[in-house]
Amino acid sequence: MTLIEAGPGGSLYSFSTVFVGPAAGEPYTLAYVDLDGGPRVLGRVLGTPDLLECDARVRLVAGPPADLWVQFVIDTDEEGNR
Amino acid sequence: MIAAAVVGVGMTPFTKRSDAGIVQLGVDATLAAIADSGAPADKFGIDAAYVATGYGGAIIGQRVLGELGLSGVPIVNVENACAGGATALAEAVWAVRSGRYETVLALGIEQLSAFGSGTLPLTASDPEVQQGQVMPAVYAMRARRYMHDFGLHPEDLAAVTVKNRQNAALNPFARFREPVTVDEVLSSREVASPLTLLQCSANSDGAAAVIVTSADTAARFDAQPLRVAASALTSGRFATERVDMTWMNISERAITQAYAEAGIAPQDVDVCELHDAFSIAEIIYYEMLGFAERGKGRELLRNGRSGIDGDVAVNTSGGLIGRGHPVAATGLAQIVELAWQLRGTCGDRQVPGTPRVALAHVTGGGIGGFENAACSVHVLVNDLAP
Repeated sequence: MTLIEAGPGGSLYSFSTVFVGPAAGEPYTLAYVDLDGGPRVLGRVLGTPDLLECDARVRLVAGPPADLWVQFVIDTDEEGNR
Repeated sequence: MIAAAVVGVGMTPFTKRSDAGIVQLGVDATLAAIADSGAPADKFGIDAAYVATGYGGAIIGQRVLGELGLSGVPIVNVENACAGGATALAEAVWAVRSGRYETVLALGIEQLSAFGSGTLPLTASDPEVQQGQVMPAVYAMRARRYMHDFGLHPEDLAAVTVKNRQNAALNPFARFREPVTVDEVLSSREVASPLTLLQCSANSDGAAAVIVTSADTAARFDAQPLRVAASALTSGRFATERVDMTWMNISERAITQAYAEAGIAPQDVDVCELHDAFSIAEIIYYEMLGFAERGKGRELLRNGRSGIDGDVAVNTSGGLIGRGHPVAATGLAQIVELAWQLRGTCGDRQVPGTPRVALAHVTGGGIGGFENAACSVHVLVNDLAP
């Protein structure tokens, strides 16, 4: 087994906001993200699902709300443009 | 190789909740298949049984067949997610073909009401399940990508449910007997965007049974034998590369094998039961089965080609969306419906003319790194049809 470096940027292959689940609580948005130079991974997209579309640029982020999740946000430049 | 034939089929109605108990469901489906075969119940015997359940617990086959006085022969209990019932059938078919056994029962039983409402329980240690993955989300992401790539509209997705609920309204064994409109489908509550509740197959209770025997032995049964022209079973391949979620390799392999084995082409299929676990799946499988060109599956719904009167009638039973989805029973319920269609006994939902070639496709199992766990395709032929 070898370690590879990928991301933190990637493109959104597809996504869905889930309203039901094993632990039905607040809706959450799942996405498959093709990490730059790496594999496709399943994670959660933080923020507003209304802004999402296939092939949108996203970025891996660390930290809260939960350590277990692979988390992404929509990628924006310093002016907030996508 | 010995030719295998289906000589008896039977099922219980599929329901939200059965009070009969899981063993009784299996007993009822098996007795229905025995009666259908025309064999006198007191003289009927099997040489082996393959009995599938996803969530019904250990040694379900012995629990059911003991009640019927049919235990003592080899009983193999099968688990293969949504393909469990079809896997039991494939094992029965290949056991007959190889000469290992002469007459074999394939049975699928499920009582999902025991788990309450919500999504099917998946394996908690799976890395994708830990992210919150559920089966509706897998298909929702297929739908989202398909909409992006091919310009599909939500109304096209809803049309799958409308057709299948129309068919289910004509099927006394189906769970959902009321037709629905496009508006009702789209305004039902969101499950995993863009899929709404009425676009999802419902966890259900029920059982279905199929008796398989050699072509020679089939002559001893009263029922008209239906030749098993193909029996294919595939599993998913673990992959980390970027797969196309609108075209599933696991199904492609099973479909290709089945067409080759049966020596048929897509246009030869008269009636088809396919795995519409969610609305988008039916549109994708039209294309994978060769009934429509890539990206054009919705046209079958728009021009009625996949309706009961169309040139390939798809999910006349109501499919998973209309009939209900008791996981391991579904693959065998498909065979029950197709056998009835080939014999011309489907009443109000009977495909006109005399259907000759029937195809069943089932696939399932949510697991990280796989498209699906298992897929199976069977082809049945009525050799007496013109």
